[in-house]
Amino acid sequence: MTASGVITGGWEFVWAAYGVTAAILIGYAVSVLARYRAQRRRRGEVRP
Amino acid sequence: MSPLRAALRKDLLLQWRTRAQAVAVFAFGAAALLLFSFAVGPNAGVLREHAAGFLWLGLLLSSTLTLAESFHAEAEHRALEGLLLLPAPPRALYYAKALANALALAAVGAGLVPVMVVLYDAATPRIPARLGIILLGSAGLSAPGTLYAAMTSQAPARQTLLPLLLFPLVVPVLLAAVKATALLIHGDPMGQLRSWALLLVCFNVIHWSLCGLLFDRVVED
Amino acid sequence: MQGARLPSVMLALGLALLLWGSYWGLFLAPRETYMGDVQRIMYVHVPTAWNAMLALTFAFACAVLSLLRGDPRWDARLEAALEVGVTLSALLCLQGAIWAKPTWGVWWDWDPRLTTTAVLVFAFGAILALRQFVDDPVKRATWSAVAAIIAYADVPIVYFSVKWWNSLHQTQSSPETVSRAFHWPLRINAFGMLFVMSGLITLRARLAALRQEEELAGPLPAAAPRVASAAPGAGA
Repeated sequence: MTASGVITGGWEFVWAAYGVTAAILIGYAVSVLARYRAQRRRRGEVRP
Repeated sequence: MSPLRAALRKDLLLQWRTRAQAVAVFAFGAAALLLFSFAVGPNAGVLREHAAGFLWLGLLLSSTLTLAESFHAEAEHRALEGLLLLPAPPRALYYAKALANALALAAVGAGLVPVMVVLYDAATPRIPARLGIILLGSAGLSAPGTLYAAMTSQAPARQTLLPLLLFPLVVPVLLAAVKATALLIHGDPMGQLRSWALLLVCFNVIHWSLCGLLFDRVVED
Repeated sequence: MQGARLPSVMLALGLALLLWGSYWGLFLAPRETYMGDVQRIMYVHVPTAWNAMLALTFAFACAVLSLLRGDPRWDARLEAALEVGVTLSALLCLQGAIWAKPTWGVWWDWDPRLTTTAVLVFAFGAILALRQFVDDPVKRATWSAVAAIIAYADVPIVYFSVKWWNSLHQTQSSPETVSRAFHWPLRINAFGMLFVMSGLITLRARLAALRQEEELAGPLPAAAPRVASAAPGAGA
């Protein structure tokens, strides 16, 4: 922070925030989808 | 004799008969207070400043022992099912158990006060106010704590689950009780004690009613 | 409750909106006067906050309905809403820390809203832990519903107590008012996040429902014959 109270730069934090958001959302979505497909496959094996 | 009084009598009798355990819980709390001072260092000023926090952390940790044990008798001999067969509402069982737990915790808390005074040089002349805060805080820990103790007494990993479930919920109790106790120790120039006590009262009102309401569903078969 | 198609569409739509809103917020929206470019974090932070609370509120509704109706589908939705709500809340705390460092110089500044969110991560996360340890599905449903109701009722008390506790020491942090120039990317991202959250909850609830089915069906026989012609739609 400069003396005038204005924050300059800081783009690395912006990228970090967006990156973390994307990573967690995409990672979680992929995880749920993978578990769902695995569960469907298991059910497909058992059903007559 | 009303079901609540009968159940309360039963629970107080249980507490009395297992008073050796209460002594052990007190010893645990006192040990915790000692450990806090080792962690912080022999700086009298710092210790006195944070004495309220240490007291309530010690009491919070001790509460997990008291609460977990409170359903021990019921779980051990499957007495809970027997109690539920009685024509008494489960709610009465809850309130009796929660009251007994609150008193037990208040006793431990009151016992820890002299330990705090000695270790941290944190005395206060306002004894009734201090006891009142301890009572309110203990009640606040006991209301959700008794409900979750009933739940986890039947679940396998009860020792981990009870504090895991309870601690986030009682954050307001911790904050308010610590602030109020600190004001008693260090002085209260702006008269904030009443507001923190009010917060504790609100927390208690909400949780004693809500947990009592939901207890039936927790112990039903 | 079949198929991954609807949730996948919602997720794709949400992702598209988020990409559009984020592009706008990152490159096209004007720089804020005092916080400079760091303020652009708000375009993901605020939508995450709204949707985290929305997810947990939906969890509360599912808990109440699960207790009242006893329908296991509400328990499946509760599990989904809890998991998504906890994930979004944890994400919120991370975003908050990344925003706080350049703004206040510390990773955590005890902002009441973020501190409350941190407590919620633990409170609702504990309920997910509870579910792991209870085998009886009816007990699991009842107990998690009770715990979710108590945790949700606690939210305002936690918020006020932390706000008050903090106000005695520090000035408030996050800016409340958002000027008009920043509205559009915020709204687009808010809707994008809403679709993502709803898609995730829907898909996760279907997964929970499938697991409930498997639980009730009992253990597999020793040599389960592989069915050559699986039912259509089973291979989603």
